[in-house]
Amino acid sequence: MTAGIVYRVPATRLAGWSGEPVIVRVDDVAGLATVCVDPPAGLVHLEMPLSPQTAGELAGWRGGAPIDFRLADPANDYPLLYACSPLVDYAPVRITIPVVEGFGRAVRLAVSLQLPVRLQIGQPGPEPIDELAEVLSRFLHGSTVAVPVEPFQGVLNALLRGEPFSLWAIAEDDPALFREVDALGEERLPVRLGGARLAASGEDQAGAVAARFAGDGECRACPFAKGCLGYFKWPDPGYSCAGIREVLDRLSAAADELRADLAAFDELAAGDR
Amino acid sequence: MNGGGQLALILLPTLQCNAACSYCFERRTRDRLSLEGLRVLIERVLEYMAGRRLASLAIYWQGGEAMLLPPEWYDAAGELIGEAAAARAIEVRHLLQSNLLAYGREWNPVIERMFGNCIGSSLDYPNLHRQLRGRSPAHYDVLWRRKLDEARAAGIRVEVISLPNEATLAIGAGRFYEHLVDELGLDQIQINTPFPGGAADDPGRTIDERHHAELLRFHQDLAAIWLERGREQGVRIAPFDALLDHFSDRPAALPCFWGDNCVDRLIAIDARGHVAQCDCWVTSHPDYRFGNLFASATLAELLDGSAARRQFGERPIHLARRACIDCEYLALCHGGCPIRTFAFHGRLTETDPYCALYKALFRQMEDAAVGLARQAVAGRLAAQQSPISALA
Ligand code: SF4
Ligand code: SF4
Ligand code: SF4
Ligand code: SF4
Repeated sequence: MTAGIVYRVPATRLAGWSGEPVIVRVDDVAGLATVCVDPPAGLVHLEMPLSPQTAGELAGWRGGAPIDFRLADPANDYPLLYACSPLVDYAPVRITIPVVEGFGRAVRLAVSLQLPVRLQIGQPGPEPIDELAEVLSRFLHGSTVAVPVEPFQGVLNALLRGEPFSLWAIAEDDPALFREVDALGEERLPVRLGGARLAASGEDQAGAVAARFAGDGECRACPFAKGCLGYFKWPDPGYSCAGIREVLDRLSAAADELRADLAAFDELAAGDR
Repeated sequence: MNGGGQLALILLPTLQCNAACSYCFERRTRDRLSLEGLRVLIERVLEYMAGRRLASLAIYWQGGEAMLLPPEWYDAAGELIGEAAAARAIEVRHLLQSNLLAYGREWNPVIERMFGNCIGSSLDYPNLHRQLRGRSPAHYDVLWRRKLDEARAAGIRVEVISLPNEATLAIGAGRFYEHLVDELGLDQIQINTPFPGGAADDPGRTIDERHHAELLRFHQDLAAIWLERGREQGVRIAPFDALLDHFSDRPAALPCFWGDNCVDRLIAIDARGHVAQCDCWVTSHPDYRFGNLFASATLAELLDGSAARRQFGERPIHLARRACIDCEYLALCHGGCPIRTFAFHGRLTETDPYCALYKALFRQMEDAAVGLARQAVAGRLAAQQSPISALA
């Protein structure tokens, strides 16, 4: 285990966990309950799939640990989010939603229930990209969206402050910050990078992956390369970023607009004094 | 330790009433809750709350007519509940809803101690339905007005809930506002949308779908009058005020039918121990009761095992698969009110019959919030540019 890294670990591999930051993966509510009885030191949050089975078990669950619910089939299972909303009074809840066709409805319902969202943006095709643009537009302009939708929120904050950012870090896929531990206890790279097992020289392997972030071709001419570091070229390096770049363009334009608004507001506030 | 959650309990300690309103949906009986019965019910409610880590309980005392139990009964009830709640570190707030007819000065101490010197009452204008048995609505109005004056003279604040009827629509929002605010001096008013509580041929049935367009206009006109005149004078008209708060990013006390699901936040218990979604269901729709708390060992067991309650829980899920998911105001509404839906459609799995009215109000108050924010900025800019501010 390397210091400074958050490990995603199945609950079955927790015995003897020595206090590094850990995200615990459980399969069901019984798993949640078991971990919550004696939560490991360093617990960042629990992670559980949200499916018709697990949602049904959630009624009455009032455990106090933060939970990340993973909605594998957002297009069909989005109404299950209603099972998560009563939990927000007790602990932070987040919904992880893959950007696949029909995912937009899940985001719409999640934010309307005040549930923060983390999008897993793989290499989306044209339909999910259109939905992503619509989700972004609601995130930026919707009067009823008051919760973060990542990675939009993280990127927007960084652009607004003119700070450097890494999409890999915001998306929780940076191997220098996040690693998987499999059912056998083996350390692996994040799933986006193929989830390969780390050899003994694990750090070198992660470094080699990091070296590839800079990407080539389309990335070289891309205005977002500094923050994106080739994120959308994984796993298929041939993926065309035309749609994604439009989304990032809109995010960047919104940051410019917001910065101008905030400057005008500061001026107004200064005038009041 | 308790979480931050709250439970609202509508408690009907008596099902008797001293009025005979023609639109009443309550099945009134002679049942009254004893203090011993109350102890059992409250203990089960608090035990449930502790199990669900709910930190605060708001008890809405209603009837029948709640004031048909004597003030001493409430004194004892308040004490009993206070002690039981303190033992579980649960906060309790009491709110009283009464038709005021039984009010007298003997009530003053308990109203001050237990109910924060405030009573909620019903007032329709013009009154078509509220009356005593064999007497006219006009007679009721005279009695109610007398009680209002007496209560106010004792320093009690009276807030009203008003249900528009055909006559209200005929006089229009301007006259309605004038009567309640200017003539009666009321400054806390809640407008409820009516729904048929009785049988289809009941003469007491309130306005129906034919009047929905007029009702929508009434709401919009009243909201506009309130925005123009009432808001700055400290008059609050629900739900307009809550919507304006919501769209102005202030904490908003939205009504029960705007939220993710009333089933997670509210229950009603009547004098016989019957548990249901709210007062609209508990006496009048026996098939939709969740169970009887005197007959169940725990409230958790009763609620978790109730097939009727599951239907309420699943309602937003059904609606989210249909029109509501595409609604731009989903965050506010989630399908609206189950009882209004049931009263109009005979089933729960439809959207609220006032959907169009809600959307129009959401839009109106959203626009108003944006307009007010713009005005505030423009006002500040103008103040900065004025030569007087330069001298300050
Ligand atoms: S958006 Fe696409 S092209 Fe631009 S840096 Fe990222 S992966 Fe490369
Ligand atoms: S005062 Fe209330 S309970 Fe009594 S008859 Fe009228 S509506 Fe029914
Ligand atoms: S059924 Fe309607 S009135 Fe009753 S609690 Fe639910 S939303 Fe409120
Ligand atoms: S306003 Fe209408 S469409 Fe929108 S959530 Fe409410 S009932 Fe559904």
